[in-house]
Amino acid sequence: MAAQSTTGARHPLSIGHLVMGVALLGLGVVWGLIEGGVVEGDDIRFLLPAPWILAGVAGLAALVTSDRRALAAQRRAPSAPDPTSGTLEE
Amino acid sequence: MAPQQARDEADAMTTTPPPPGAPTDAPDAPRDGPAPANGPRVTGPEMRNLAALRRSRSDKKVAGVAGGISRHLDIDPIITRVVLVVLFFFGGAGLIVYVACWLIVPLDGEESATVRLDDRGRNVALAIVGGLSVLALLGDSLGGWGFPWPLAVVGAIVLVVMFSRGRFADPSPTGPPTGPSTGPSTGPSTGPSTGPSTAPGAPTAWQPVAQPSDQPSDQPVAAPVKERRAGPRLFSYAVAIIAIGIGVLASLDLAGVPVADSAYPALALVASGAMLTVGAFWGRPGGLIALGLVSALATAATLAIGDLDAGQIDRAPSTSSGVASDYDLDIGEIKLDLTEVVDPSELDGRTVELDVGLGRIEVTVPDDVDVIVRSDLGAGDSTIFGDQSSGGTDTVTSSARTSGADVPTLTLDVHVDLGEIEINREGGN
Repeated sequence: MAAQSTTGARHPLSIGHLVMGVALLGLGVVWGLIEGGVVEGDDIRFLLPAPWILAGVAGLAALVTSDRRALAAQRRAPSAPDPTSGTLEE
Repeated sequence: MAPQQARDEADAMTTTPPPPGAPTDAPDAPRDGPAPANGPRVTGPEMRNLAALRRSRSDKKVAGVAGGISRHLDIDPIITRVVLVVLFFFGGAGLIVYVACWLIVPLDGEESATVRLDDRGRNVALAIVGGLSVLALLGDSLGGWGFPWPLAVVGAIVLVVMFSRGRFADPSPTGPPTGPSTGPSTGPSTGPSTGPSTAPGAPTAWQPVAQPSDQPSDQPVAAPVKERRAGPRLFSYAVAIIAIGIGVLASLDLAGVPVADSAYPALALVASGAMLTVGAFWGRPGGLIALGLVSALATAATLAIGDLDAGQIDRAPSTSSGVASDYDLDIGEIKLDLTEVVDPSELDGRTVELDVGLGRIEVTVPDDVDVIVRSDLGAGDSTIFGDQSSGGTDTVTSSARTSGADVPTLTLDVHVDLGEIEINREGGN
């Protein structure tokens, strides 16, 4: 998150990687539903956008959360750097 | 670091020649100064640095791919073009390489292509393209799909992991030793005056060692490197997990457990997604997006191919009850010969639908039946009772050669997206 510090291998949240990760996992779930016969025919075309919508929602939620935390941290410490100055990666 | 040393170092950095392949004002100028008398003018690490590859603006026939590759490898462009053309006929490997490079590799003087990737992503994508083209080449040369591809893929992935962790990993170690870095440093080349993480005593990003003052100023200086995230490279973990998973799936497949073809790329898709999600918080996820997208495309392709109904339907029913109401094929040819039907009167009032996505439909009707043909051809040629046309919808009626009040009437609904329709009367039209 924006306010958290880098500790070891942990780093500030990368929104781009989070979005793509959720999208790919969602596509994996879609594959499972198709291969398992749960979804067939024209229903597939309605299912395909779902992972991307889910990924976008996850990315927006992460953005909002991290921005809120950064603003809260800024209010607590007025001398802290501007949260919009690149603390979020990607 | 003394201020004078820092200034000297900064000067040395600013006078450092750009790394090979970096955009310059003279794109086709020799990259490494005067060519030596013997031997190649590019080193092995420079050749392996695919991120430095650029399409040539000056030496181009189509998109400058062959010219760029030739310059990158320092070979005659004719050789590259001949190799690409030859590979085109072996599984389409040349086409794969050319189209992928066209999309991925930027032109001279540019930093991004149609598909925008950073340097590492481009490196990985080009490596994957190379792997795919090798598979295409081998698939065409070594027994096609009968070749034990799962084992070959696992072996190739293991080799990639070994090489990437061994001597191919960072061949010119100018970067920092592993260790945590703090803050969004702008890189070591900016010197201590601009880096935000240079507080005394604080752990800092890697800084180049200052050169002795008596060193000549034109001595090559290590190129600045980007700051890297701390932590393990998750790409390697993903590749290892995928290799193990594919090996397990292949073993199950060989043991008789039904495993869908699409399960292999889907495994890579899920592993990439999981590692990317982890990498959003922890470690270094570079290259996983490209791997995941390629896996997603491969999964979609194998799913689509698995659902395709391809082949040939060749029917010559002997009775009217043997004539189906519809014949359907995605790719291939439908041949329906109705001249053998012994009770054509039973065909009266019936409608037979024939549908091919890509391919050909040929129907031969008996003499003693009136036939109404409703054809729908997306693109291609149709010959209906001798009338030729190309594309579109049409309705053609053909009367029986025999006369009589009780001549049966058969309707044919024929649909081809791309291909050919041919409807003939027994014994010619």
